[in-house]
Amino acid sequence: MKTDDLIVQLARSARPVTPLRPPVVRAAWWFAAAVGVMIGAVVAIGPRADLAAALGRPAFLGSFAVLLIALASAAPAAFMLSVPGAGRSRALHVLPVLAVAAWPAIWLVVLAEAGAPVVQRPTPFHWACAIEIVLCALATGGLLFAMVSRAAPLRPGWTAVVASLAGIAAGTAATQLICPLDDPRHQLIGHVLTAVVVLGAGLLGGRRALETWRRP
Amino acid sequence: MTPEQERQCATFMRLAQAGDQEAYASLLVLLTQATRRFTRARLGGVPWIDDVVQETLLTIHRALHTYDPARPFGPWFYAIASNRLIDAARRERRVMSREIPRDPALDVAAPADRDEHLDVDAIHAAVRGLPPRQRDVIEGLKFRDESVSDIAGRMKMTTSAVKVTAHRGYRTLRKLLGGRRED
Repeated sequence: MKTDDLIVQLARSARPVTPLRPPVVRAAWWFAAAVGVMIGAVVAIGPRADLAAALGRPAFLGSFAVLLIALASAAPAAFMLSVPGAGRSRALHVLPVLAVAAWPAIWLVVLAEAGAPVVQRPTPFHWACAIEIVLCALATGGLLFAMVSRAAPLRPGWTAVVASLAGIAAGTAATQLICPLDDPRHQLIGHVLTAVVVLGAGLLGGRRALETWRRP
Repeated sequence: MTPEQERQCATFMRLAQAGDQEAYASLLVLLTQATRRFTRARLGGVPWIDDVVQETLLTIHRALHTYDPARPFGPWFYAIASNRLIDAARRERRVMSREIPRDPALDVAAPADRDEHLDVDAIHAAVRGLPPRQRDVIEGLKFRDESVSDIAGRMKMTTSAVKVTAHRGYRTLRKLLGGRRED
């Protein structure tokens, strides 16, 4: 098809459109919904009995803080990457990746200080934690993917990475307030490993979902 | 894109978002020229500039709702144009790396013992029927034994552009000659 014919065809199909709200506003809406899901999960299942005391422990506090940083940086990054020309800074996607990477690093340091082997019976994996992480990440991440796919993510790979990280951060942060085990082996195998599996699924399925806007 | 052109595009864009088809057509014409200039400045006179232009226009059409009228138009447009350009360049590189070694013209220009029904006059007639640029490249490569770089220098093209043009010519020739053989 000639370019002139394409222009005529596209112009004929023009209909009024409602411009999307700015990425920061959309991120704030998502953040409110994600916090609602997280609080709902914590209230429904019940927070750990020693939450106040746990918040005073450096490992718990540090781990929770980096997850909140990942949550607060990944979602705006996903929204900005989905709008052409809005997400040009490399720091935009590097910060959430670094924050999420710091999370297992903290528990590895705790483990190294304790000197305990990573694999040891009884198994440090608990299905309840995995299910909480998966469900919370699915709810928040799914909503984020749905909102982001309404825009035009030119780089679906990176957008899927940061959107998945946001969902994972929401799921693991909420689970940390519920799970009473601060054993680093449980945190690494029960929480981090589950998060890695969710991240893989998010990248595979999410990237494909974010490419659909290009199809006619 | 000059600041004046950018303002003009932003105005047309606001009207296009409101459903004004004439303003939208004017915007697409302006962006066609801007995309051509943008592509030429980065890749030179590649023969697939129109592919980049058309894909950019289609992407703009699908992403129309993502332009925020409160923000400058240039970054929005160039993000799309450079994304489409990179995609098109990658695709062409993939095509070249996969398809050039299987040079179809070697089959059609091979001695008659490889195909008893090969008609040399038909080949020459088919080559004469190609678009001028493709014809010049194929005649140079296959009839005058010129190298790709010689042709690139003579025609003021990049070597990649010569290979792409030759590839397209071969594809057309294959269609033309394939049809004749079946007859």
